[in-house]
Amino acid sequence: MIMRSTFLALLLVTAAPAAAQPAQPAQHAQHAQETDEAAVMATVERLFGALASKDRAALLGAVVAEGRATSAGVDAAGRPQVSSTDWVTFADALARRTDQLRERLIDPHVHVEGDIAMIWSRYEFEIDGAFSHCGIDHFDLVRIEGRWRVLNLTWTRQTTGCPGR
Amino acid sequence: MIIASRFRAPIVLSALALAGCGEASAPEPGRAPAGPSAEERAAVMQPVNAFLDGVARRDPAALRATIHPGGVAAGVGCGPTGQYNQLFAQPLATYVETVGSMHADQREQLFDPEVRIEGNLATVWNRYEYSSGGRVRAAGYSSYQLVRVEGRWKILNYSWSIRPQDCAAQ
Repeated sequence: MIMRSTFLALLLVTAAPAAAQPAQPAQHAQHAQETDEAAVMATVERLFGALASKDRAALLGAVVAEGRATSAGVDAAGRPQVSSTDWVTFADALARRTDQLRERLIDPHVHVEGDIAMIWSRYEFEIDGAFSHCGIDHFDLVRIEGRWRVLNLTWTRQTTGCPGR
Repeated sequence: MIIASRFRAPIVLSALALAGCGEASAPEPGRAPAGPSAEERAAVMQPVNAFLDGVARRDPAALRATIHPGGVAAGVGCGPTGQYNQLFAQPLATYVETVGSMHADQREQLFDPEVRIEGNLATVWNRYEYSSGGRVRAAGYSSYQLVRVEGRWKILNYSWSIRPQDCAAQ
């Protein structure tokens, strides 16, 4: 099921900043970059908060409706399997879930350039308080009329070989 | 105007994969070997370069071969009267069918593409310049999300930004 492999819940971003920070020529530019990164990460946190609370409207408020949620996983035989859905379908499925979901990003790598941003990050996922799986999340974000939203989220998923597990 | 067309309507850019794009597959001297190998990077860049080349040649069939159906093409671009910060979004499969209406002298060059790969997921993040009529008319950043199916990388989602002054200059 898509939903089984999909759902990201509460985001706990690590305190460490993204590994690669571009050199900034001026202090104010540095501050602007930090502010933008914080705004981008806050948007992801908003999305994950909506997932944790299974709040359909809040989730749709954190995304661009035209974007996609996609699992780039493998099937039972280990063959690549891509399952993609729009955000409305994703939110509808979320609202039907009954289990407790929680996700945390680990060492997110963030790029923000003007009104476009991307995040590439390891994640860990818990269902009903127990470790479920890990993988990589890739977010595309855009800022329209001053508001960052998630355009696309694509992820991998693995239940074995997770670092530290 | 060309730029307006690119960013607000399904009449999109013509683009050309320049030789410089080949740098995407070059290893980074002096860097820790934590990232993908040169071969892995080249495999991911191949459909991206083929996509840009297919747009430049206005060849929908070539573009279809580079994409995975179901994704989107989306940009933060210009509105119909040159205003900045308008969202453009349509299915990528629709977007690639529009290339026949493009201008022949347009091209897009990628700079310093950052390639990341995990399993069957990859990303290419880069600065770009878009030229037409012999001068740069737009620049920004673009992001490609790719998935690997049956051993081949395909573009799933494609998104981009543009500079505010590029809208004002229209």
